[in-house]
Amino acid sequence: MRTALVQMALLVALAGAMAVASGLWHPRRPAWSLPDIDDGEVLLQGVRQWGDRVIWVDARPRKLYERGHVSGALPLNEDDWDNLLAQLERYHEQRKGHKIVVYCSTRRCDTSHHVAERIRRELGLGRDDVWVLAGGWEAWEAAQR
Amino acid sequence: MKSRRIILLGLRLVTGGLFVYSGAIKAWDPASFAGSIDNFDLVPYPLAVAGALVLPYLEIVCGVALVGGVLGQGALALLLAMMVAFTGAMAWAWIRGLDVNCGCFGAAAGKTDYALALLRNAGLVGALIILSLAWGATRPAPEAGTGQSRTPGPQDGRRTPPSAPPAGPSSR
Repeated sequence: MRTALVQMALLVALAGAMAVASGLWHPRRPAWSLPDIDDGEVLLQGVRQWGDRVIWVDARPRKLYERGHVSGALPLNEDDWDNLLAQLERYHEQRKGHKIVVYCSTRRCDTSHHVAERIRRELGLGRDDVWVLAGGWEAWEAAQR
Repeated sequence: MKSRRIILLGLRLVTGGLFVYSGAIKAWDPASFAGSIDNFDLVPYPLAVAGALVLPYLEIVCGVALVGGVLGQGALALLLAMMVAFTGAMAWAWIRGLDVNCGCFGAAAGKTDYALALLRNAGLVGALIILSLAWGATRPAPEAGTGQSRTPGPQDGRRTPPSAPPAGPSSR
């Protein structure tokens, strides 16, 4: 038991030293605080400035969408991508100039960025047309309280 | 007996190698791994950053220890603790329906298939438990040519007083 503990301490110390070096000099070291906003994201306050010229897209799994979503949001997830994308395309054609805002569960879930990129690519839209809501559904819910 | 040793040696090398690989991918891009940890929404972001800096190297040094057959007991205990924590976090994220990338083998792996990831973790935990139980049989033999596994007792050049009781499995 004591041997294992000594070995664990040695291994942790070694890993710790490498981690400190990584934190100081690694070219891809993370920042110690989160940026408020990532590339391609928009804050909820920014979306509100667009008024009703917004099409909300919920990129979370279907069961979470059914549990609750932004009013008027269209579901779009990989489980039924083709049908849901066709639905979004028809909806968008009737609302030319509207911004599409995609959200997923939390502030750092990747799905919304992935879905936004696919929408841009498959519907031939630009970066100014499709955005990701910073903070996702979490931020939306927090703003409703 | 010999085939058992070979199987255990293979298991040790494959498991250790897998952790070295997994750790190296994460260590290559700690910023993305910090995002992956943060996705789980379990710890404050600065703690996710600390984890993203430490965990990859812990996986690497423990994996190297396993492959090299040194500090094995400590490495196995640490890897088991990490795997239990990772698996718990993943199960919790699945229960909450989070659509995250676990970052288990780098952030580029895409959205996590929870069932598959939990199955893989269960396999790794099983391998680590087997190796922990059989650690004495998988280490290099102390004397070349004996062909026998080491018996538990004071070894590795350590001296113990004659009156000392028999020690547990040796430290290497």
